[in-house]
Amino acid sequence: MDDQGSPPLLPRRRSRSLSEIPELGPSQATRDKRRLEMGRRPSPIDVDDLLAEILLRLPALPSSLPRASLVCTRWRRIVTDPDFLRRFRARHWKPLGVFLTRSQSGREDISFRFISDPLGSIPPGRFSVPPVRAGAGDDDYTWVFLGCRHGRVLLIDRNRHGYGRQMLVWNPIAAEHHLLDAPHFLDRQWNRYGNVQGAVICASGHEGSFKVALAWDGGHSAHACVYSCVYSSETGEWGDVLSTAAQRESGFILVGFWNVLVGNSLYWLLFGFGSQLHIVQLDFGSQNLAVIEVPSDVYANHRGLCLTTLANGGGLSLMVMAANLRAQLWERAPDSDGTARWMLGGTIELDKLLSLRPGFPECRAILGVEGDHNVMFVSTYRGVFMVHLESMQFEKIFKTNPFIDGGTIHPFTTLHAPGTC
Amino acid sequence: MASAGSGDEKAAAAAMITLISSDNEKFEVTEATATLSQTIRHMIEDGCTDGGVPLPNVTSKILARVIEYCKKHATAAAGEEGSSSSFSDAAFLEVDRAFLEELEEFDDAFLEVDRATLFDLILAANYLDIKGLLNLTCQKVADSVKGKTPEQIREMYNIVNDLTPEEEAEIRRETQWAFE
Repeated sequence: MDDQGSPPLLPRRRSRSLSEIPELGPSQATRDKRRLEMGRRPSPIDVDDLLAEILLRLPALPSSLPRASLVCTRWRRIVTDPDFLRRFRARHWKPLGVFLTRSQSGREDISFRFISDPLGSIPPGRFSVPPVRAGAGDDDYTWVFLGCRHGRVLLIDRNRHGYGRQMLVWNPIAAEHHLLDAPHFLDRQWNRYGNVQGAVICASGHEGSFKVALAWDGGHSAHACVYSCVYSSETGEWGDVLSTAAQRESGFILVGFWNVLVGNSLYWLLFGFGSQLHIVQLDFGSQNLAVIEVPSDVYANHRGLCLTTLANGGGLSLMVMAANLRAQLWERAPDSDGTARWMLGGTIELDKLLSLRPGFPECRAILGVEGDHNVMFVSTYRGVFMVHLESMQFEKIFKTNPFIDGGTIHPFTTLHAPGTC
Repeated sequence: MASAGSGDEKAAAAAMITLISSDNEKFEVTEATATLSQTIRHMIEDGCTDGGVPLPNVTSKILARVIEYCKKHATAAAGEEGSSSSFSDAAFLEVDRAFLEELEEFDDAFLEVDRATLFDLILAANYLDIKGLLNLTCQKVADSVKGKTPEQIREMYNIVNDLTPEEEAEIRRETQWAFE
């Protein structure tokens, strides 16, 4: 390259080096370069790119970005920029820790292990599961883990006869407990063979408010239905029970454990008769419960199914696992005639990423997939890995599988971008 | 960075780069030290460092600090390369760990500067594209903002609040839980 005859060497170099950093767009780079060349000595706080670099390094605490947005309009613009939020998520996808759950002789063991601690000061005792308040005349209730999200954990109690009568919304960091009566209608809708799944989310708008959403299946009723109901801490009440037909023919259906939150909707997998698959959508905004069809060729011969938000712009995506920890990502996109169709959006080869040798099939299990942040926990013969499916970063979190037999890992994270709840 | 091998020594001695600060002070550094800066690395690759590299945006005071950082971290990078080829035993890993601790101590001490110097270091790290230094210095500023209220942040950095009361109320409403 001929640089002779272009005396201001560095400005040219600098613009080239800036454009090579993918995060810095050329227009911003040019703007900042101009500011620097004008001879003023700006504070890095005044340069958008540098302020973004600084704010990206704030800890992944729920208060970090909302507080920064309140400083001034410029700070607000920077921390609400979609590209900034994507980079912030990519830096902070690692959970604070993981809950390990394992069913053992009718009880569920729930324990917690730290992975990272941005505060460096959270007493581990905060993560000891609170005791169950004994039911009248019966003291063998234990908590069952239904899920965690936005820094809160949802538990429901159960004894050997079935699910109990109370639920707990637990904020371990704030050491807060909200005990809820399980909704009375659950009595009529399902018995001890039934299956109820749940999710807790933080509702925006009011101090400390949250919502709990339950989804359960009609089990073996003649017309298989799926039901849902939402509790709001603002009103302190359960809303109406929503229901929708799950499949045309009668038969057994089951709501899957994992769910993802996309915009205003929660999604669960719904496993049907003859290994049929559907997806349940609960829309908080319109109070609507719907069942989404999935063509059987999408998931034929699968070795595991999970919901993620890997589609473009953080949209819903169905991950279909094949042999050797390889996966296909399917997303719903509108066709040319406007109807939504499932399209193959990409493939993932975890065996290559984790350098797994072929011929070592044993001990390969998916211990959990948290679809909001797209974090997968995989047990392999080389240890247990936490994989961020968006950036393909991974980290070995355990040398060996912490479970002797079956168990599940649930990442606990407190990160919450402003205005996305 | 002194090398013991006679052949290497000659090569290393040959690969010296002259950096020229905005106030015309000249600094002789090894290529290994200079190439922690991606900007300078590209110039070396393009063969345009003869006669020195003018850095019109960096004062001698700041350039001296930047070179101090680069020297220390270039040594660390060289150490890492050595570890993969010639050392693999536990004793070396112990030495390696001790060196990383020393590097961390160096970084901590390096950041013991006033705010104006810290800001100048950020600008220089950005201008010279030194990722490690940019990360270190930006983290220091982020730490100073961490846990502060919006009012405290504005006061600290002389920022004028140009949000309307309605906008402020809207932000607080969107994420009220975060202001508990």
